[in-house]
Amino acid sequence: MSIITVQNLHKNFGGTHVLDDINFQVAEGEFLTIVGPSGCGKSTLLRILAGLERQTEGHVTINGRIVDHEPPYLRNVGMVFQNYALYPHMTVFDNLAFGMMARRVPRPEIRKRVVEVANLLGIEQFLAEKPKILSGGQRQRVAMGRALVRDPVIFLMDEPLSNLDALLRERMRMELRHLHEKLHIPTIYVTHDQTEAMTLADRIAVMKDGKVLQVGTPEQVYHEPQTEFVAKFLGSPPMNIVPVDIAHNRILPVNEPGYVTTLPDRPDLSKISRVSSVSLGFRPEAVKFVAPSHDDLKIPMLVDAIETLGARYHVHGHWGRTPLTVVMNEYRPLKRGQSLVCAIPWHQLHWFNHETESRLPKLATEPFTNLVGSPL
Amino acid sequence: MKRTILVYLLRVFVASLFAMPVYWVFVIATSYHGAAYQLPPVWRPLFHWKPLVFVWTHTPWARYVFNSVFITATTIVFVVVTSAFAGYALAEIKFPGNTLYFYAMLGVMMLPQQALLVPQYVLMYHLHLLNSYAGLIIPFGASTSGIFLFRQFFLKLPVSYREVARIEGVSTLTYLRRVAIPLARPAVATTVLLTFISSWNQFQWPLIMTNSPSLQPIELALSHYMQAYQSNWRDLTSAALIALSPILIVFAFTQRHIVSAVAGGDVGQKE
Amino acid sequence: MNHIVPSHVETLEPIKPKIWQRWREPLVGYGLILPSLWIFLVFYYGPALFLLYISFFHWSIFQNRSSFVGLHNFVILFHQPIFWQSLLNTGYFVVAVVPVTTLLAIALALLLREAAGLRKGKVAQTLVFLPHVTPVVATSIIWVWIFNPNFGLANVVLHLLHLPSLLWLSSVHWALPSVMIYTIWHSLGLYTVLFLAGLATIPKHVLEAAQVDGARGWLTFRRVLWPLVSPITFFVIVLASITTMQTFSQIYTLTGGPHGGAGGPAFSTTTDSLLIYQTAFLYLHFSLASAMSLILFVLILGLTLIQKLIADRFVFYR
Repeated sequence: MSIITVQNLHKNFGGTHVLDDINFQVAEGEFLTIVGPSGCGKSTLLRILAGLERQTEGHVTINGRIVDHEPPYLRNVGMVFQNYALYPHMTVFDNLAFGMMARRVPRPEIRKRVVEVANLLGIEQFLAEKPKILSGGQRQRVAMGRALVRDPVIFLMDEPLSNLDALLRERMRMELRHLHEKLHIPTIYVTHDQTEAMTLADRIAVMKDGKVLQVGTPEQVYHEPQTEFVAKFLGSPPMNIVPVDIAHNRILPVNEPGYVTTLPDRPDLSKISRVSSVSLGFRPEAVKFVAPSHDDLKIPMLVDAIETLGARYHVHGHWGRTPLTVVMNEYRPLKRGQSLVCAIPWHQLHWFNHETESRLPKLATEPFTNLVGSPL
Repeated sequence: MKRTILVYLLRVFVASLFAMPVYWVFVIATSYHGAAYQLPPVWRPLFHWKPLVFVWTHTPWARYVFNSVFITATTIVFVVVTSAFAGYALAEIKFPGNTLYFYAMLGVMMLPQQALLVPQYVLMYHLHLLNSYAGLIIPFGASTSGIFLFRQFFLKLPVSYREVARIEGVSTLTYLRRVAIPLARPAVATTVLLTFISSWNQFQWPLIMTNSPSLQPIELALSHYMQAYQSNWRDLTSAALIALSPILIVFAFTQRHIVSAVAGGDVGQKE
Repeated sequence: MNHIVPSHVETLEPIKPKIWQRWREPLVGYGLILPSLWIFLVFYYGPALFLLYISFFHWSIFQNRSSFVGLHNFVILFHQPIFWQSLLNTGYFVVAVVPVTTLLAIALALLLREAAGLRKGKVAQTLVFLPHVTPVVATSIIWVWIFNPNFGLANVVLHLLHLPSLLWLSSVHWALPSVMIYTIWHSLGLYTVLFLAGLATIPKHVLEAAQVDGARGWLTFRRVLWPLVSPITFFVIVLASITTMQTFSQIYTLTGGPHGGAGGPAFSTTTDSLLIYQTAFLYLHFSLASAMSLILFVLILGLTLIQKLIADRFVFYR
C-alpha cells in the first residue's frame, strides 16, 4: 500500500501554473527524491504535502486518508527545513520537546522519547545546549530529531543538506541513507543537487516548470531519460545532445554537410530517419577510443581543450558547431584542432524528437507510427 | 589640531548647556533654604536630603508616585501585548484587511491629539471613564509605533519557525508566547522604554480626565503643587526631583538604546 | 510509470473545504488585531468623526438635547478676537520655533558627528537628548526659576553680555519667546539625533571623494551632505511643525501659577491648544471648542499636505 498518493495536483499562483498536473506515489519504506532546477515548483509541492500551502486542484492522500483540507499537524508528517528552523533561544531538548509540550504530552513520556531519538542520532550530549554552539552537521541532526520525535508517517525534507560544506554534505548523505535503512520511514526529499538525488533515492522524480517529467529508479532515469531535459540534468558532465539530419545511412549535425559520418547498418535505422527532426544523445562516458566495432557510431570530433581531473580526463571539442564533452579514462596526448574519432556503441545512443524533446521509443522493439517523412 | 580642540570645547559647552537645568533641579533641591535667591547662583550641590524627606512625608507624594507607577506599568503591559499581537498578525498572517489595518493604524499618528481632546472627553464622560484608572490607561493601551516595531521584527524571523510550529500542532498563542515574543526581546525592550517615558510624562490627559487628587499621577500633582507653593523653590525642586528621578535613572542605564530607538536605528535587529 | 494512481482513490469526489477551515487563519488574524483595533477605533477614529458632528451642533455635555446649528459655532468663533489672537500666537510660535530648531539641530548634528580625526560625541549627544525625555512639568519648575526677573539665570546671562534685563514670562513681549526657549531646549535633542542618524547613513567614500575633489567646509555641506540629508530635514520640519502647533503642557505650566491663569500675560501666550482647553474645560463651551478643534485639525492636515507638495518638488530623494 502506498503511504502518500498525489493525484492531478495543480497549484496556480496569480495566473502562473506553479504546479501542473502532478501524479506520483510513495510506497511503504520508500525514499523518493524530487530533483529539479530552482523555481521548478519542487518546494511548493513539498509544502502542499505538509499542508503549509493549499493546492488549487487535486488530491493528496496520506496513509489512505484524503488530507486536502487538513491542517499540517493532523497529517502527521515530519519536516526538515533547509535552514533547520531550530529555535535559537531554546535548548536542544526543548527544541525536540516543543511540539509534545504544546500538545500536553506527559513529561516523563516526552523525556523518554527525546532521549530515545537523541541516542539514535548521537546528539544526547547536546541536549542541554543551545543550537548556537552546535556545528552545521549537529544542527542538521537536531532538525532531523525534531521531525523524528513525532513518530511521523512520512519524512518531508526540503534541501536539508544544502547549508553544509561539500565534505560534510557527503558524510551526512551517507548518515541519512543509513538512518533510512534502519528506520524505513518513507521519505520525500527535495533537492537541486543531482548527485544527492541519485545516491539517496529508491526512486527519483525529475521536475521542471511545475511538471514532473519522469519518475523512476536512478537507473531508469539515467539510462532511459524520457526527455532531453532529464538526460541533460542527470549525470556529470551532462549528456551531449546534437540535433542531426539523417539521410539513408548518413548522419550529420543539422545543416553542416561537411561533418557527415556513416551510421552503422541497423535494421531499425529507417524508423529514426522518418522522424522530421531528431536529436542524438550520448553520455560523455559512453565513448570508446579503442577497438570500435561495426555497431558503433563514429563521430569525428575536433578537440578544443583537455581537462585533467586526476582519475580521468574531460575532452572538450565540437562536431560541426555543436560543442561536445567526452570522458577519457587513459591519458593520450591531444592537440587543439586535432581530430578525434569517438565511437559510441549503438545501445548507448539516445534518440529524441527534437521538436517535443521527448525520447523516441525503443527502436528495436517498438514500431514507429504517425511520423512524417524525412526532409532529405 | 586647533580645530579639533575647538570642536571638543564646543561639544562640552553645548552638552553642559543642555544638562544644566536638570542639574540645577538637583542643586537647589539639596541646597540650603534660600539658595535659589543667591546671586551669583549656587553651582555646587550640598546633598541636604532633609527637604526632600520633608516634601515626601508632608504631602501625599507616595500616593502620586504609586499612581504613576501603577498607570505606567499597566499601560506598558497593555502596549506590549497589543503591539506584539497586532504586529504578529500584520507580519505573518494573511487575512482580508491586513493592509488596510496597517495603514489605519499608521493613520492614528496623523490625527492631531489636541484637536481630539474635546470629543475624547465627551466619550470618556459617556463611558463613565472620567476619574478612573481605566480612563488613564486604556486609551494608551495600543501604540502605533509599538505595532510597527513588532511587525518589522517579526517580518525578519524565518518563515520556517512558524511552519515548524504549524506542523507540530502548536497554537498561534503558544507560538507567540514561547517563541515569537521571547525572540523579539529587542522589540519588547524598545516598546517598554518608549511607553515608560511617554506614560510617566503624561500630563494633559490626566489634567482633563481626572479631578480627584487620589488618582493624580505625579506630573499632574506637581503642577498643582507648583501653583500652591509658588516660590518655595527648594520644596518645588524637591518635588520635581521625585518626578524626574525614575526617568533619569532609567535613561542613565538605557540611553543608547533609547536614542537609537528614537532615531529609528537598528534596535529591531534580531540577536 | 503510467499506472501510478491506485484504484482505491480513483473514485473520490472533490471535497469542498468547510467554512471554518477556510476562515481559520483569517480569524486568528482578526483575533490578534482586535485588542489594538478597538482602542484605535473607540478612542481615536471615533472621536475624530464625532468631532465633525459636534462642531455643527449646539450641544452641551450636561443636556441631552442637541440641535443642528450649521456654521453657527464657527460664526461665533470668528467674532471672538481671542480666537484670532490665538491663531496669531500659534503662527508666531511655529514660525519662530521650527526654523530655529531645524537649523540648530543641523548645526549640532554636524558638531557632534563622527568626522575626520573626530570621534562621535556620544556623551554630548546623550546630554543634548536628555531634556527630551524629562517630564515637562518637572523641568518647567526650574525654567520658571531661570526666567525669574530678579534672581534667575536668564538675566544673569544678559547682564554678563551687557544687555538690559528682561521680565521674561511676566512680559507681554517676552513671555512667548520664553516658552519658545524652553520648547527648543526640550525638543532639540530629538531632532539632533534624527539628523545624526541621517548623517551616519552617508557612506564614508562619498565624503572622502568630495574631499579628494578639493571640496571643503561649506561646499562639502552644500554639495554632498545637504542633498543626502534633505529628506530628513523635510521629515524634521513636518514633525516639528505638527508638534509645535499642538504645544500645550509647557505653555500651561510656564505661564500659569504666579502670572495669573495660563496663557497670559494679557493672552500673549494663548495658543490654539490652550484656548481649546480653556474654552472646553474651564468655560465649558464644548461646541465652540469643537469648532476650534476642527479648524486646528484641518490646519494641521493642510500643513502636512502643503509640506508634502513642496517636498516632492525640491527634496532630493536617494
